[in-house]
Amino acid sequence: MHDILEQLSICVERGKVDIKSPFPADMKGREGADELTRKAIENKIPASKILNDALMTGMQRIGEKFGQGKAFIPDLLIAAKAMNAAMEHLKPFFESGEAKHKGKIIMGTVSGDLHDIGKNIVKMVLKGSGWDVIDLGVDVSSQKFIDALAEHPGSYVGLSALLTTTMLHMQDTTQVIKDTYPGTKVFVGGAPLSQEFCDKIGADGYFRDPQSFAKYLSGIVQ
Amino acid sequence: MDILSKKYNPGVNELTIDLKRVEHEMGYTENNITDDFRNILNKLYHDALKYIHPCVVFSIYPPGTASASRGEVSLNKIDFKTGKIISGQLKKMDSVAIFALTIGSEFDKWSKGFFETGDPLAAYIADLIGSEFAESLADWLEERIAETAEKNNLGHSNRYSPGYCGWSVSEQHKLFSLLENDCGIKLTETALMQPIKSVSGIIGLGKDIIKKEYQCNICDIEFCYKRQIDQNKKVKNET
Repeated sequence: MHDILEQLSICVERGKVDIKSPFPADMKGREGADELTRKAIENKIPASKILNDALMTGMQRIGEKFGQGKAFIPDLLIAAKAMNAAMEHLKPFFESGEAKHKGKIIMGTVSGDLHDIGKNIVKMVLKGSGWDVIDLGVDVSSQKFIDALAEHPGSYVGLSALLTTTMLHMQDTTQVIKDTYPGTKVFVGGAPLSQEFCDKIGADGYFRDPQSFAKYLSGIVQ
Repeated sequence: MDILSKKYNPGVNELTIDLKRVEHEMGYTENNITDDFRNILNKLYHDALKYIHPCVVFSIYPPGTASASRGEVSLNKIDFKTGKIISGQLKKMDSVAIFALTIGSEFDKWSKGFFETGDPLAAYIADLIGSEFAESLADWLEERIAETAEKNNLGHSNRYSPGYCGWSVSEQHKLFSLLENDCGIKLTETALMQPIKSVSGIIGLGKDIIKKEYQCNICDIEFCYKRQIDQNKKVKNET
């Protein structure tokens, strides 16, 4: 592996965004994901190699630590921030088709609910894991999900809710999606949810944290 | 005794939050937070103080105006369908305090702004800090209500809010209609409060009412997040 790719994977894993970033303290003053990705491109390393051998590797390592209870949500978020700084440089390669997202997922907080922190965290982690995320925002009606699916056919759907009252809207939204676009996979998440609730409303999966969702999605597209 | 309505704007320095609890919410349950994250938390905590503008309003209704039974709390001819859990806890009350409070809209703008500038970590931690301050403000308010109750030789209950313990959040519109002052909290069509770091609810008052700490065993709501937090703690302790 190129030394630069190894360094880049460490920057993502540790959340070293750029040279100005004071975190992590032991990497202060060193180049971060931003500078190293630019360098890798200048060194003619293919975008797909940068993505798979450095960025994804870094995210995978921090994801494994999270799964083992050795890292926490802040570690995932700072890694995702570094990953996204790198992804900015890869944008033209995604547009040209030289690099590819793992797939597309439409996300939103369901109708009646204005809480977006959980949904935004999941969005950052999924983007950091190589997914193209279409964020519909908060208080999203069933119709908006249907319209987004018409625009982005074949996408997965992620529904978020924070309240015991608004999570009930997930059932209607899931039903409308399944009736209109049979076969669409609908996933749910949020503080008051459980696997039992997911089963009850006919959704395809419940995940209690962003990493387990990202890991599951990566598994089904392999 | 007439309806006693009050509005306060306590200084943020009158509120205290335990940053250890925020660390706990971040996942660091065993004092294992790194210096990097502790520094970020401390910086955000100090920055947050500039954006928090607490406001509380409450109205205490006179004795004999409120009652609770069979899943309902009645106040001034308005019936709240609180569910049996809350009405059961309040059955000995004969008066009630209704309240609403917020840490203000500037905090919302500040904390949400981190997502817009691509800093989800700061947004996440700022959100946790805001929740702690809202809870701290609710504790502050409860103390004021308890003081007033004590002066009238009344006890007070725990506080209960729409959206919890089976009380539908949609009843928030009724609750707000009974408040005589306001802190600029707006309700959406679906009865959610804006600014988002706001709390509303009721506290039962009466000679025979006592405050009981919140316990999951009084409640049978299967999917409540508080129950899940308790279960998660149990799982963590067992593994």
